[in-house]
Amino acid sequence: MDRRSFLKLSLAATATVGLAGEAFATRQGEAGAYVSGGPAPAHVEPEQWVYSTCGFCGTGCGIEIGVKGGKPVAVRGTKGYPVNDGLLCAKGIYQWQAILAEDRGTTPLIRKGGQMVKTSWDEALTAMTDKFKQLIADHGPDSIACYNTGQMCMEEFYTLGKLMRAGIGTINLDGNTRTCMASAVVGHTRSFGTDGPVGSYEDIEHAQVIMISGSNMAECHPILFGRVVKAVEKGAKLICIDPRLTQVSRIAHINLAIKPGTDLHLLNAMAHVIIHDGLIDQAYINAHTKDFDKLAAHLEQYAPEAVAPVCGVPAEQIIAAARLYGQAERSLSMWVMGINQSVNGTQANNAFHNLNLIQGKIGKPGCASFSITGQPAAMASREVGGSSSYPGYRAIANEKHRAEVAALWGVDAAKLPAKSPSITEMIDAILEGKIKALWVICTNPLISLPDQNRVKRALEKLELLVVQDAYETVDTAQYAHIFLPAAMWAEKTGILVNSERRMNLLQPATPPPGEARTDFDILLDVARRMGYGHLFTYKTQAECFEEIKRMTRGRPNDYSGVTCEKIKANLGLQWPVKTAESTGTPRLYTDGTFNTPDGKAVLWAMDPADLPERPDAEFPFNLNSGRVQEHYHTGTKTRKVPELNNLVPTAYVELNPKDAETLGVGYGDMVEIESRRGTIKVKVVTTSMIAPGACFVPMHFNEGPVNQLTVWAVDKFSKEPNYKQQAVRIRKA
Amino acid sequence: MTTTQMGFHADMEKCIGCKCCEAACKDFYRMPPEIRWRKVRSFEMGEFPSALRVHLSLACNHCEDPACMKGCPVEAYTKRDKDGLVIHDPTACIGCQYCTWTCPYGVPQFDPEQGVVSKCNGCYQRIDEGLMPRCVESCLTGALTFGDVDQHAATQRQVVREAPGFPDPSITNASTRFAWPLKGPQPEHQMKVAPPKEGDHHG
Repeated sequence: MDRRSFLKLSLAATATVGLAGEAFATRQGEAGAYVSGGPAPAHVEPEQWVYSTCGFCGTGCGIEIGVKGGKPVAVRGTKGYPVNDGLLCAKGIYQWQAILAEDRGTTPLIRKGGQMVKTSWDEALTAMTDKFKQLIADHGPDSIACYNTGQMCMEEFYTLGKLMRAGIGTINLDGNTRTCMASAVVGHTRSFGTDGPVGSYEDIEHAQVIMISGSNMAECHPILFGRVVKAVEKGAKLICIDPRLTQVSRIAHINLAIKPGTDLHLLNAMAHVIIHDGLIDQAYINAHTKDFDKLAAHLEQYAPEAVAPVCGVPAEQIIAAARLYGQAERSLSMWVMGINQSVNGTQANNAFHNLNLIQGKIGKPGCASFSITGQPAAMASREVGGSSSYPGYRAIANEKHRAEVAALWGVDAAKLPAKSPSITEMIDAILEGKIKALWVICTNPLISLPDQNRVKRALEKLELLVVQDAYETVDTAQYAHIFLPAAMWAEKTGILVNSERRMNLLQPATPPPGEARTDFDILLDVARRMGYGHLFTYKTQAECFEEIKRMTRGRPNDYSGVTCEKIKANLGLQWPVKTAESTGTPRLYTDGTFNTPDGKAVLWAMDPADLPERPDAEFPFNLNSGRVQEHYHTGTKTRKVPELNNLVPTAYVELNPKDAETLGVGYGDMVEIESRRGTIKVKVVTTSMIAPGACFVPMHFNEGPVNQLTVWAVDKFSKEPNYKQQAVRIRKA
Repeated sequence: MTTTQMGFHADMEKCIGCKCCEAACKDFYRMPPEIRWRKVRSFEMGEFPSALRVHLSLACNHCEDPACMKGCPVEAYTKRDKDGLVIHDPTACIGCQYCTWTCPYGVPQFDPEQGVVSKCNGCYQRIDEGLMPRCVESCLTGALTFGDVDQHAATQRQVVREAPGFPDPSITNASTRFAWPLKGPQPEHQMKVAPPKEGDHHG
């Protein structure tokens, strides 16, 4: 393309990229308005800065919350913090506004005569716990379920897990981490023996080759991608694997724009090349892994030439990528939802671990098989039993682990649940009438779970739905019988854990609004009212954390040497921190000893499962879903920040210009997108960053909920839903 | 006479379009949501699978010959001698909006609520304290920098006066400089750098 045509195109693109914003009529809170006394926009200087951690993604940036007149007025990155060194993404910068939103819940609500009306905490919690007790008596504890989040703090996850497992004794406890990191959890466990990301963000700076797969890191983890850009500038090579073109692919040295859902084929082919080229570490394989011969034999059928037509990229590109990765001494793989949210999610995680294990690229600076996390405390939930495990990375189905937990808790091991259904299984159990009460905490399943119509039917069927959230307008609350207003991240104390196992603090910068209470406080109150007070001898988060430390002693995530003062003094601590002297552990498995019974990592010989749906004559497009940088999850926070919402104000579908032409639609036109499960109406954004035959709809918008369309299919190992590949048809609305 | 001209340098290779510059500016100065002193624009080129989206972060270009100043009937604009920053005083502004017509880059923005125009002032108070502009300080990748325009050559991969979609910088001698993305069309050969005006210190 010559420059003239480029400029012509550029000018056209100026008009088309990004939907025009609709202005918000009002500002939120006095802190956001002009400073009085002059017409000019003016800086607001906080009176005090409070050390804390960002409440958005799993990057886990250190922040300081600026407070003036008792209210948050600003957020800035913590200078010198190892993750972000003073920097923040746009969501991070504006997040103080989400605290001041007008729809914060300030009193409990209860449904009376079809309407949600204000009530007291006592009435709300009495109604809730009376119903729980009645259901347990009539139908057993498994008639009660709890679906929670990756956005509480560690002490809250621990308390919730103990309440649901040791108190109520239900099998039904899961988190939205199921829809996010479950494939990473099971992938870690199958390869290394337990969950736990192996690497450290500083590996970005040490690596010679960085491979980013199924991750629009520039939009979803901008702080990490900023570090990647700087590493590339200093000479690191970048490989991108993604069916969409992104900022990652733009600066990549090798870009593999594969067909949706073919990651495992590609990774198998890369391992095939690495083995055939002799780019393996045989000594490491012999000493620290098992089943290499089985893997090598299995991979014979995955020659690049055989895989190339499946993946839709040339064999030479696959070979080039494998050689670039394999010939480097220090290579780093990072991935997120494009890998995890698939029926092949777990196996693809294992394929990354295979690739790195056979080269001995685990536990060394610049080498890691690194699953990046999506929520600020998803790791904490995984570590202390907030969803489908017991504290200390103990497995729900492991009898020895249950006995250890029972002994530490002083309860009967036989009463601790030995299985833990996933949220999709729980939704089906509601529809079958087995689950009668659901307690939703700090998540919005009506918008975020797949197959929204099925989820709606389930929510409608419940005898009791309790929604505990910071915002009383959270979509799921439409179906609630009881709403409990909760404090947000800047209003409480607690510990968060980021993708690199770094524990950091939340510290309260402002009181919760009205009668809102911390989740910690609500959980302890529910426990007491249920008659489980004896299980909870702690009263404060600090006392709770001392109990958690005892639960993790000798476990992979050993926090024995952690104190809040030490976390603050060290700007976060990467577990394990076994002793008072330890300042943390940047990398796991540095000695090649894994958490499997024999200490060896497992290499898995794998074939991809069939995708639940493929485009066909009736539904010719592949629908992909995901995030944009301006918004987070179901938008409950970011859509209340006008500065963010103005940039991306509503739902849209990305379509290749060629497909748009065939459909007779242009930029900004409305289209109906239909799958076998539902229909949505959204605006068209034409872009060549998406392949012909593919479309992408962000997940953030309740007015165009992509999960009307998504398929009810899960990974067979992790039970993580398959959000990235489904068949749809599109027509002009 | 300005002795030193300070200006922004935007490297389109390193810019990932994260809008942190824009957010940091807006959050620091607390302008209304609709007003954006700095804007990140996106451009697409090529076709799948080799299509590219590049970003251009622009604010005031602190021109050597500012058209906004010429259009202002109440002298709300001043150009600082010491660094060439063009500063708008909203307390002097009468909201006539002439400057929004005369600026070729669409920099001054009118706020109907307040009845005045506002624009990027180069964080001159921060500059005087020895700090960088908020946008530069908040850039995740080092794509956006600020300094003496004559010194960019020593620190930047490329120093070019033109950018895609950017009006002819010679009209007002804009101080913003650019580095083009590594992939896609390149500025050499076609790129005309405006000759310095007579009596100008640049050479």
